[in-house]
Amino acid sequence: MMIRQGDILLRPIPAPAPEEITEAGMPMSRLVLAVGEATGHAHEVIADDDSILAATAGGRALLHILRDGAAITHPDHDPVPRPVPPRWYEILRQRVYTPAQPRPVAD
Amino acid sequence: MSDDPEMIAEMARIRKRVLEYPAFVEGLGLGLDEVTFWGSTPQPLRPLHRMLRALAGSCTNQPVTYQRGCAEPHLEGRRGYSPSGRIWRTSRERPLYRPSTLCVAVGIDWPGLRAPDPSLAWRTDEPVLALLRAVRQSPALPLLECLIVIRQSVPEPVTLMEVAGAWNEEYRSWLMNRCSEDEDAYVIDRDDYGTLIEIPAAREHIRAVKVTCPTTGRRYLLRVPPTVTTAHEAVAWTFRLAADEYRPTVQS
Repeated sequence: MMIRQGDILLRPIPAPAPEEITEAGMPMSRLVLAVGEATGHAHEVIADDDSILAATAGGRALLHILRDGAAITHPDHDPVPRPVPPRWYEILRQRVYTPAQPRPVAD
Repeated sequence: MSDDPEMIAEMARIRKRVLEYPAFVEGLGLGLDEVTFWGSTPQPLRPLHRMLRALAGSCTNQPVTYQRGCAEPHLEGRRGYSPSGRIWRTSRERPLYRPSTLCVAVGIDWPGLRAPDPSLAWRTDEPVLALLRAVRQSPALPLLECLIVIRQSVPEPVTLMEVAGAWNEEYRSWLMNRCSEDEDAYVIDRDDYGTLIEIPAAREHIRAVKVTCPTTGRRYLLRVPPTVTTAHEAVAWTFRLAADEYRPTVQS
């Protein structure tokens, strides 16, 4: 299930091989996906228990939801209407074109 | 714009002093060896910037040292991802500016600014009124000999070209609501994902996709490469995907 909230997209991916992972945190119950520069508002994944795992692989931000029950929140958006299914996701931040090079959106 | 009478009065005083700039600086008796600019550099104020640069002899926005501290106090204790693709720690380094620095902040007040927060004084990219409010409460204040803040008014109606040139997507969305239909812009494609338009410009035509957030109802204008031909492809490009890869199941 591909999930979008504002300028954040969670794209389902196959589980990465262990050697692909460059950095991984401990499972947690709350994870900030992105923070708006001007508003300070954050897209967050929240769960009742430590079922959220943050990881990176070659500069890509990855998310592993270990169990059912995680939800995505943001102060300006309605909660994503369905819980995030347990699996691996790549977190894609929206970007905009500039003649020099694309840049992430600033909000 | 701010409704705070004290803030408005202070802005008026600062603006008057800036307009009388050479006498203002002489009156302060600052030994200026550095000018730090905070904020954007709107076209009408460029002559002022040139004058400040000439007066100070140099211009830099480089901090002299760094101090450990959380730049986002309301997210203290959380973890996330940095823009460079690393797992983000709550404690970031924040810049510490040299004493006797003249800071010039130029920008536009708009309703999307977050509430005043002392830590924001450490940010160089903060829109202007938040910066002014923050500096007044901040431990940075004793380090600054002078802070000049210039607030610009937003022209109305706003053109699509002005919207496309804005630096922040939320600010751009706010501008979009003040935007008149631009007769020069034309629609290339329209589908369920948005409307792809092109805005003629002297140097390079601007291709952008107009989208509406399904939950907030806010409209956004996102610039995309000139090679994009459909609105679906445009929105997919903003997420580094091809059109056939971009099919969100749920959105909010």
